[in-house]
Amino acid sequence: MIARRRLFTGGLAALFVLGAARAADPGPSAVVRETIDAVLAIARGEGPPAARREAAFAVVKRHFDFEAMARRVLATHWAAASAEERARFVALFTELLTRTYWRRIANYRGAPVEIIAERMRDDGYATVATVVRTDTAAVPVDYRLQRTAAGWQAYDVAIEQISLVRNYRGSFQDIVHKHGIAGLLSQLEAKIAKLPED
Amino acid sequence: MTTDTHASNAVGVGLLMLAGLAALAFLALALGDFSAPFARHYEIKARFVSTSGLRVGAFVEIAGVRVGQVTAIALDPGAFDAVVHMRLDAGIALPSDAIASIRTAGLIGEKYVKITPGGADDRLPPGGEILDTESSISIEELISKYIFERDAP
Repeated sequence: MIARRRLFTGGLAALFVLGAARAADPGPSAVVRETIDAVLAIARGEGPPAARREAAFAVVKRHFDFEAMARRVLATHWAAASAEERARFVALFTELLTRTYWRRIANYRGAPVEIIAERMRDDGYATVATVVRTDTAAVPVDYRLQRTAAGWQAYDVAIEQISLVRNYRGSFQDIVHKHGIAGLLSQLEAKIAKLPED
Repeated sequence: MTTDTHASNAVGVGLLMLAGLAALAFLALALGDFSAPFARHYEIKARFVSTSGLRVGAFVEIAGVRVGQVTAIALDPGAFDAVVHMRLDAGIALPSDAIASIRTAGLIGEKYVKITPGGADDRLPPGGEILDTESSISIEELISKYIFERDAP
């Protein structure tokens, strides 16, 4: 259990780490590298926790496409959802991820994240493979990015080959089947309310 | 007279042979994996870091329903990853952001490919590639990793 939490702490430190934007069009590895470094610097910095969380989130948002992620997670139900439901789902899902992982990132004290490989896929997609070293375990974390008008943006993270999008896709699918999209939204709200803000 | 009977015998034997061959061919197709000539399919592929345990002929499933099978598994000699070719029933149009995962049927069952459709508007064309994949997970490796590499609690 502890090992598991550590894995996610380390891995998701990195999740939150996509974001440092730059003027010229940096490659996927550069995007991942800078975002990880920027977020970890903020997490270890001084200042009130709420302010640091906001600063880190601003960095992440620039290179993490939460809407693309939410669409992939809602999958087949995305098409059926109204514009209003989609917007609420994107907002709630983003809040769920930030609340779930910010504290773990803020407490991350492992070694710097290593980038070990980058693979371009010809039609504007790339995978950046990284390794997060916690005290003793080395956890492989892969970022999947897509080239957009705003530069390279991540839409999925795979930790130990387990895709975050596929994982949430499976569990949300069940909820939508049983309770509909409205049910999913209210369950998300209830879950977020139970998570600490910082 | 004798030439006539010989000729008709030869024709009869020939016809019987043809009928036998046709029956054999039908059996081979029906019992084997050669369903392609009788149904409409299209090919897609996906890249995995590891396909350990997956075999040619393995099922491709969506929501637990068999929709195709693995037709070939090859190593990409440049990237050293595995390219899995699959044949899907023609009626199934996958969103382009579908995810392909290699999974095990039950605890010790065979490996198969599970596809979870996504939410994109565009469809994967025949011959297209599923970009997002999850490789087969070795439970033994994971367990050993977190037994031996975790720090003391």
